[in-house]
Amino acid sequence: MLVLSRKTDEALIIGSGEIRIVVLSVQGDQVKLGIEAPRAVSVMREELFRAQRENAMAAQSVSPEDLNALEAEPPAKPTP
Amino acid sequence: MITENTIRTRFHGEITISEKDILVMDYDILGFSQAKEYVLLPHRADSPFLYLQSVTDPALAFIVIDPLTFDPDYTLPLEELPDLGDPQSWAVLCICTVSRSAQGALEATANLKSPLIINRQTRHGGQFVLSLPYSYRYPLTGEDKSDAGAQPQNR
Repeated sequence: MLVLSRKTDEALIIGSGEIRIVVLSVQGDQVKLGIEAPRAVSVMREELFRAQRENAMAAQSVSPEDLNALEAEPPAKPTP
Repeated sequence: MITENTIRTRFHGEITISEKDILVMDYDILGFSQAKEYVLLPHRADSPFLYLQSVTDPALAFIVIDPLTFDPDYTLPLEELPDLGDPQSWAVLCICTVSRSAQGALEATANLKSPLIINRQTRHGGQFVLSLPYSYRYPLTGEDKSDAGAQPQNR
């Protein structure tokens, strides 16, 4: 991972200038960032991005057969 | 007056639901902002798993489970959640992913990090990403699951 130090009001450029991230303020362990990016670039908090990705995978994985098989494991007692 | 609606579902065919069955996600299921309304449908008798079926999109359903079914210590940080009404009325559900590994083994995980919280009285709620160090993929399969299904469904 690239590590850079920045002070308040200093910025980073990503790519050839189309994405700019500014440190607006630092208070304790909280950093406020300003992000300038083209509309087409999605900017999200990482935890929301991860939750969204998990949701998308979950929506694709839904299968009653697999769920039945899952509940049958470990080998259930044979039903009479 | 109670309005009834017939909806198409992913696994339950056409069903008739009442307006009071509808759960409204004021706080989006992340990535599914277009689908606000759901109903809970059973997987089968005695199963802790339920389906959260979209009312408007027949193809959209999630497998969900009450996290207390397998983690009796699961707690919500009330201070970081919006006002959803009396916490005693909250239903908490975690979205599950069930998949097969390359070897064909079944793998199931539950997203404890971003649960759905719905007030059972108002039927409003949504998905929240907690700051607690819970897993997005808590394994439901594998080693010790001897207690699975032993806990009560309601809190």
